[in-house]
Amino acid sequence: MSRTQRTALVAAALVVLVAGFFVLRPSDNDPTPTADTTAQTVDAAAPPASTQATDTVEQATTRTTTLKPEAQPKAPLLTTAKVTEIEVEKGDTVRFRAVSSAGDEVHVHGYDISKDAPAGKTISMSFKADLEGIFEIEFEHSGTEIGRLKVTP
Amino acid sequence: MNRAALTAAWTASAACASLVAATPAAAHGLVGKQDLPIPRWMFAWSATIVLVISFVGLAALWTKPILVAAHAKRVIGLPALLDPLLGAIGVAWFALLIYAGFAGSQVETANLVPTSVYVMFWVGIPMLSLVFGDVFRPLNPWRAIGRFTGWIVQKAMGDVPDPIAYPTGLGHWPAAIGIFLFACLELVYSDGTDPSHLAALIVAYSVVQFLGMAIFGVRPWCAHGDAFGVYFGLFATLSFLRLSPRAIARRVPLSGTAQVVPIAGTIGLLCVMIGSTSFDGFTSTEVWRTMADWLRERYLDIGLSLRPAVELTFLTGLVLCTAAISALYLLGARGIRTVDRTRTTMELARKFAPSLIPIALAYVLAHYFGMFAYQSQAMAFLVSDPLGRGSDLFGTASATIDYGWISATAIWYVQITVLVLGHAAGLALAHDRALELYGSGRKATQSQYWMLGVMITFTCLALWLLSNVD
Repeated sequence: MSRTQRTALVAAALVVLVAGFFVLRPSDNDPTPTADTTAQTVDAAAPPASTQATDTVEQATTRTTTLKPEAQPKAPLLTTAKVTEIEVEKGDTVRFRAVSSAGDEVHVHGYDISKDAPAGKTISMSFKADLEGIFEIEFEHSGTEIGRLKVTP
Repeated sequence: MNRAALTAAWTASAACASLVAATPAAAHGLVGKQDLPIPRWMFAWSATIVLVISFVGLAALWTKPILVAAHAKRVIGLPALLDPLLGAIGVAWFALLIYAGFAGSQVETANLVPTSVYVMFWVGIPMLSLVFGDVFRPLNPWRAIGRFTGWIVQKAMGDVPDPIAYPTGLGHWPAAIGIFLFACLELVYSDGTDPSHLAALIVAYSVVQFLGMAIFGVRPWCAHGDAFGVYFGLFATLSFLRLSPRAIARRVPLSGTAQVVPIAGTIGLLCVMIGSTSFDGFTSTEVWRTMADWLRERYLDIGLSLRPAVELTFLTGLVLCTAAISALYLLGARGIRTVDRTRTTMELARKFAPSLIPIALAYVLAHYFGMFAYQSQAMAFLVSDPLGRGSDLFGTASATIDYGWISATAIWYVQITVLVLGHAAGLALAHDRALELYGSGRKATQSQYWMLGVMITFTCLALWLLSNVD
C-alpha cells in the first residue's frame, strides 16, 4: 500500500468516525428515554410478595417546571426490605420517604444529606438533584442500603 | 463502624429477604457514588471507533518493526541520594498505614488506610506510572527495607552468602498469585475495607516479601515476586519516560512495553489483571445479579451459611472471569498458528503478551477513574486526621469531597478515550511483534486476524461493562 493510499484510508476512517458521532449523538432537545421520571423498583433478590406492596412503586419526582405540590403523588417509601431505585434528571427535585423500625439516620451519599428517622416514624426528604451519578441512600447507623439515587445528565 | 456494628449489620441484612444489599462490593462502599452507565449511542459509537481503528491499523500501520530495537535517550541524571530518600518516604508512609490501621478508627471512610490502599495505591500509582514511569520502584517500602537490611548485614558481617538463584519456572507466578489475592480482598472478602484487617494483611504481605528477598535476593525478588512492584512496573513500561535510580531517559512511546520479556507466569498475571477488573465491572450488571442469586442459592443449599455463600459466589465469579479472559487470549494466540506451525500456542501467547499491558491499564483506568476522581479528594482530610480521631495536623480535616467538579459526561469521554487508546496501543504492539517474527509480508497480516478479533472482544467487553452498570 502506497503512502497516498494509506493517508486516504486514515482520512476516510476519520470522516466515518466524526460523521458517526454526529449521527449517533442525540441532540440536546431530544427527550431521552430517561426523562421519564418515575421511580422503578429494581430488586434482583425478589423479596417475598408480602414485603413488596405494589403501592411502593410510585412516582418519585416531578419536573420542577411542572411542580404542583397539591397534585403530587406520594413519594416512594424506603425501608430495609429492599433497595429502591429512584431515577431523576439533573435539576429535578428528589422526593422520598423512609421508615426505620429501630430508629436510625437516613444518609444520602455524595449529597451528604442526613435526617433522623425515629423508630417507626415515616420521614420525608426532598432536595434538588444537582450532582450526576448513582448514589447510595442508607441507614447510617446500621449501614443498610435502602435506596439508590440515579441522577442522569 | 466498629466490628460489633459490622456484625450487627450483617445479621440484620441476613434477616432481610433482600440479599443484594448485603453483597460485599467492598471497595465501593468506600465511595458511595457510582458512575452512570455509558449511554447506548456512545457505546455504539465507541465500538465503531474500535472496529475502524482495528482494520485501518491492520492495513496501514508501519511495515518494519520499530519498537523492539528503539533506544532510550538519557534526559537528566539523578543524585545518588534520591533513591534512598524516596525509599525512606515510602517506608514512613508504610509504617503510618500499619499504625493507622490498627490504632485508628475502624470506620472505613474515616481511616487513612482503605482510601490509601484502594484508591491512591491501587489506582493512583498506575496513573502516575503511565506518566512518569516506574515511580513505585524507588518508593517501594519492601525494596527499601530489603536493601537497607542487606547493606547493614554486609557492613556487620562482611561476607554474605549468595542468595539462591531465582528459579526460571517460578517466573511471575508469585506476582500473579499476589494480584489474584488482592483482587479477592477487594472483590470477594466481606471485610475488605476494614482498616485493621488491611493493616494485618499488609504485615502478612511484608513477611512474604522479606522471606522472598532473603532467599532469592532483593533485586531478583522485586523483579519477579513482589506482586505490586511487578504490576506497577508493567504499567510503567507504557510511559515515554524511563526512570532508573540514577537517571531519567525518554523513549519511543510503547517501546518500553515492546521490550518487556514475558517469562513464566506473565500471561497468568496479565489475565488476572484484566479478569479481576472486568469482574469488578461485571458485578454491577443485571446479568451478574441474576447469576449471583442463582449461585448463592446453590451454595446455601449445600449447607453454607450466608456470608461464606456470598463470598464463594463472588470467588466463583472472579475465577470464571479470569478463566474466560485467559481462554480468549489463548484463542488469539492459537489463531497465529494458522501461519506459524513451528511454535506452540503457549510460546506464541508469551511472544504477544506485551499487547495485553495497555489493555489491562485501559481497563483499570476506565473502571476506576470515576472513583479516583472523587475519593482521592478524601486524602485532604485523611492526612490531617489519619486515625479518624479528630486531629487536624494540616488544617484540612474539615475538607469534603466535591462530587460536582467533573460531570458524568466528562467521565464517559475519559472512559471511552482510555479504552480506545489502550486498544490502539495493544494493536500497535501486536503488529510490531508480528513484523518482528514474520517480516512485512502477508504472513504478518494473516497472523493477526485472530488476535485482532480477540482484542476487539476485550475492548468491546469493557465498553459493554461500562454501559451496563445498573
